[in-house]
Amino acid sequence: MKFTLVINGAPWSSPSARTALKFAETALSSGHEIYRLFFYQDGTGNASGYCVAPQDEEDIPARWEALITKHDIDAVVCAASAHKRGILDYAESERYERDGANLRPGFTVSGLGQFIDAATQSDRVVSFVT
Amino acid sequence: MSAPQSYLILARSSPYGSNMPKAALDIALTAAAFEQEVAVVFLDDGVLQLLPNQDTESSGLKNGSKMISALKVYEVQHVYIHLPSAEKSELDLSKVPDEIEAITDELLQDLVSKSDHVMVF
Amino acid sequence: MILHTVNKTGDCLLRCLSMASQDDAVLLIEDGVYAAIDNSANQFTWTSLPTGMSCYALVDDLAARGISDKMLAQISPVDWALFVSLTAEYDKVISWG
Repeated sequence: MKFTLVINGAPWSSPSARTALKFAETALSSGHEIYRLFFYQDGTGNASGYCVAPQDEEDIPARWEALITKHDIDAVVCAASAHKRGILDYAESERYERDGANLRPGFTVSGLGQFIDAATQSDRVVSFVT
Repeated sequence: MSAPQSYLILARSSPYGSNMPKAALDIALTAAAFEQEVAVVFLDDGVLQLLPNQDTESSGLKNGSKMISALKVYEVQHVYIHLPSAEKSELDLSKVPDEIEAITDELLQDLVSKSDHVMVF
Repeated sequence: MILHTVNKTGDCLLRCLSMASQDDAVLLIEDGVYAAIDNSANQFTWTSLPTGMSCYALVDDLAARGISDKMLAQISPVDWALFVSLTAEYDKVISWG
């Protein structure tokens, strides 16, 4: 199966980001394909390179980055959601004159149309809601 | 692009208390812009998004009801209000915009069953 | 045939169950697993279920909340692999939250 996952929750704020991560890891190890990960609303926080995980908690953004990099997954962060939450890639940090870019490697910022496109190309869309 | 898919957006949240209503509408509008078949249903607390006379000027909030009125202009084919939810809220249906159709439990279940994508907000 | 995932109890679960039909399945995850506890309130909730509907709860979430051994008989524990399988087996997934 080709999956598209929609991640709506910020890391640690609710269980949903971690549920999504475990689902993604399991789907891949079960032999399925992830067509796209779409990070929406508070879910864009999973792409932040500025999060510092407490030592005794899972580093959820780092785990996403590792998964995305290892499996070369298309990980899209919704631009409108990301901007409000201060998740910016280099081009945007320049454009909006912010001091630094914090989008993690492996993620790209794009529009909500990328979700619609992914939905048409995938066998299953699974949303992880807060 | 491949054949259009059908999207059913279930708007269950009250306005202004969370990002859910806007998130729902953004998906509905994007899907419609990409020529998908889109239906939006206001149910449970979502019917409160349809209360008339929402005056957001002093609160600085973006008025959600204006966008709801424009949904069909932006190619969202169907906008529904769930009758049992409206009745429970004692919402005056005569004050709901004409282009919003009433939907029963049975019809809603049918839409849930038949739509390619059902998203809950 | 729909797989409904539910991550909360209360109105969210009730709305899901009102929209579900007998060929569907419900998977309780996160705080939704509290609806799997064998108590009279939950027994009542699940009596309104369409007969034949399958109900599942995610093992890790049950264990975290200390309710693995307090479950209603009609709810089956599933692990992550089975969660993934269920999403493939059913035609689509609706996430209630």
